[in-house]
Amino acid sequence: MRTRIRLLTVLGVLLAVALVVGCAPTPGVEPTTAPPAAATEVPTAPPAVSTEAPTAAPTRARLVIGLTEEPEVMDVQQATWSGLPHQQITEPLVMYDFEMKELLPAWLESWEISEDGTAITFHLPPGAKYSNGDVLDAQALADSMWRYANPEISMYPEDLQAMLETNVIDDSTLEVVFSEPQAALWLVLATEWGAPWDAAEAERIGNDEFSRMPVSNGPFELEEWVEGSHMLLVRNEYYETNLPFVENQGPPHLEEVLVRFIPEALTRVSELEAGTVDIIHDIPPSELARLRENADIEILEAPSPGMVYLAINHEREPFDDLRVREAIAMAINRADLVSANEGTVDPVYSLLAPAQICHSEDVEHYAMERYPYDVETAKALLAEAGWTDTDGDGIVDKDGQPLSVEMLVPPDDPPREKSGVVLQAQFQEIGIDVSIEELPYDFITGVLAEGEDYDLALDEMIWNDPDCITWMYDYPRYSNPEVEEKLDQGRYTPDLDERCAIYDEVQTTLIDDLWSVPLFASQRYLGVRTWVTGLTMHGPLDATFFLNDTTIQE
Amino acid sequence: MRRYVAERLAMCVPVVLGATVVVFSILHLTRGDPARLMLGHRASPERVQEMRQQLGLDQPILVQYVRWLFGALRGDFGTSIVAKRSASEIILERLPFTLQLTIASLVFSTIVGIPIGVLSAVKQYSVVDYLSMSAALFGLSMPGFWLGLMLMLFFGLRLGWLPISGHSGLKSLILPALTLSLPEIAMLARLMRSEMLEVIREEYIMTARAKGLRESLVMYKHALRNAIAPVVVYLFLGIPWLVSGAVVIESVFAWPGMGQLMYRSILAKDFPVVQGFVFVIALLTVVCNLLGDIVTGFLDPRIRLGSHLY
Repeated sequence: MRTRIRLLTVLGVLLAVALVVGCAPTPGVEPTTAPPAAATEVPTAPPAVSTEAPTAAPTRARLVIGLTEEPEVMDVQQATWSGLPHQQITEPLVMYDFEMKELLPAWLESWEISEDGTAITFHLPPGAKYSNGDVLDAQALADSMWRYANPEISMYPEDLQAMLETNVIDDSTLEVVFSEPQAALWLVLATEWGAPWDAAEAERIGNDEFSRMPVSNGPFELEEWVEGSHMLLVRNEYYETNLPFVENQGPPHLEEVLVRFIPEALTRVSELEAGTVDIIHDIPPSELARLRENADIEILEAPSPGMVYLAINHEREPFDDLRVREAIAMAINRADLVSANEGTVDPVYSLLAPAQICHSEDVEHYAMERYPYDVETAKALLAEAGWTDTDGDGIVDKDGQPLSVEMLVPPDDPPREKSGVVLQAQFQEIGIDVSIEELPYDFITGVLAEGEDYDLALDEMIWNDPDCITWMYDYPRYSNPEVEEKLDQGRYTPDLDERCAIYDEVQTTLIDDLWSVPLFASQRYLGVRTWVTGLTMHGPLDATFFLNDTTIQE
Repeated sequence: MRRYVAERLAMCVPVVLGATVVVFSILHLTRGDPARLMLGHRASPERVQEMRQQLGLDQPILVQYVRWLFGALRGDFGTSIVAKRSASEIILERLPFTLQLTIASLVFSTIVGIPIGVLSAVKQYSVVDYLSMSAALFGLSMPGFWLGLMLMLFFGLRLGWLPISGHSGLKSLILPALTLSLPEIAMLARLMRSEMLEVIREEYIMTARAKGLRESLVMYKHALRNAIAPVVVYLFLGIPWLVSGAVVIESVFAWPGMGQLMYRSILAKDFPVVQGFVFVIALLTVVCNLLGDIVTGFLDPRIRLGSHLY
């Protein structure tokens, strides 16, 4: 009887296990890690990806997109970050070309800049309307700009701090006068941040309601938002654009866009494979190889216009010593970071990634040569600064104190989470004992921005314009009046070559002083079903989608 | 019985208060300032300070807590820092989704778990018994996250019988509810089985058999009725667990319930929403405990008739 019991138990367990194993999906083929992009490669501006134009009548009028993160606020003028839903309900004034060099008209027909560069005259499309029928004339545009500049409403009013006055010349002509020529502002105007938002409607329904159901001039308008589940965008019949790279400059072919919030990566990928979702964002590296083999799915890649960097607190000993900072920089082997991320990130040595405006290959080479991966030199630098391993425990010390520091690593950002552990080991090699403190990435940025104490932190900054250096300038608790002056200058120098020369100088100084250590720029991976046609993606500009020509041909 | 219930009711208050105090403290004493999180990295320190004042975060912690508590007792949990509207409204909007999931799981667990437990006990050492208990062990040991993904991949992707994620009607409820209920089924089955086995060994069962009663009558009228009390208590206690366990399942299946809301609110340090949720859960826990105790009181005559043990 006893033996029979045991036998049956074993059989029962085996059956259960067999069921599990049998039902498990075939594990993904080991992705062949792409060799880390050699930093010496001259990056060609990634072309916009456009799937072929539709050949037959569309089979479905609703596009379904799977996003990872749900916005908190839809009114960009009250938001701190934005994404696809915001981009689809608004049309920016201008647009950058796919090289991020030239400005193109988007919603505006054209514009002129005065001789001294301080006055910009916008020419609006005549008779334009917001998606709810409200008049979108020069006065409405001015109202929108002043709303953006209002610190009581807007999160980033400094973007327009140089705006002095707006003059309505006529219904479709608006002159905006600044105290300085504008340079950094153009990126704002090329995104949802600088687009027109219906200030009159905000007045009518109140800012709180408007933050949930805003009105703008984009190809779609927000019809429904079920928090935690989805947003339904419907075609804006009043939409018109002057974007040169889309064929359809009127209301989009699609009737609806359903934006679903699917936080779990594997769930998103499954939905794409099942065909119940047409486009997904954020494909994890482990799923890439398998999806690439799927003939019904196309993988789009876009470089991040920004980077992950290691922030060092200059006010904390021993990081106030340049030699210690240099040792840290030279202990980092970026190739390991790339392989830890399965080849989905590209190493960066300078402060501006390839997709960012004023990225310079010269500065990149300069930085690479100045602080290459060199463990021996790193150890020597530490020794020079007085840090040696006197007690043989593997950690350098000075005056009896071991060099033990804390590094803030976000557990909710996979590339940084993986990199944190790798860096910890690399610092261990030169004798620095790093303990990891996990903190969500928003919190880490909070620590940096609030002037709170920290030793090292892994932070990420994403913004196409080099003006972003100004925003994070203080994070390492660094001060250099010369650099500050140049940063201010760079903001208001319209000529691109002149501007980039200024940022070259800024970068060089900050690299010499080891303001912080740039690490890598992530690649974004998006999945699109092949039955989606006419999709244009602006790779460098944060992988923005243009759905003007998009249709679905199943 | 009345005293029993009254005593239990009185316990509600310190439990709920205690829970809210603990969570309040944790939220306020850990890193992360909601004003800074809300305004983003570019806001000036002055602006952040202004926002803190606006949100009442510059007040001493005790003041903030008391203010919040008085509001909570009126059902007003404050204004969500992130969404800028009533936290109670937001919680009420998301609550039905979580309730759907929880109730479906509860019903399913009860319908499946209890009969399995009874059958295993009645047919102890049979194939049914071994298979059920192995499956139960499996259901208890496998993490819900993994189970959910496996079910989704098999029934959703491979077979295409059910929606993979999201809330889109009754069909979309099946997989998440099933995943959530599996550990509960396992627990109920095991508990029911062990309670039945214990009762079967009691003397009055032997007496009933000696009286010549049908075996089925012995089992279902006498044994089951006495064995079921602890299981019912467990069932009620499991309700708050189901609600909070739903967090992971909701994330996997993109189910727009309170769990997801809580995760984001905690990360954003959205005090009103998190505290409101904890208040609701604490209340739910004590109510369920109370209900469990009351039902036990009815089922167990010893309690109902007021024995010396109480």
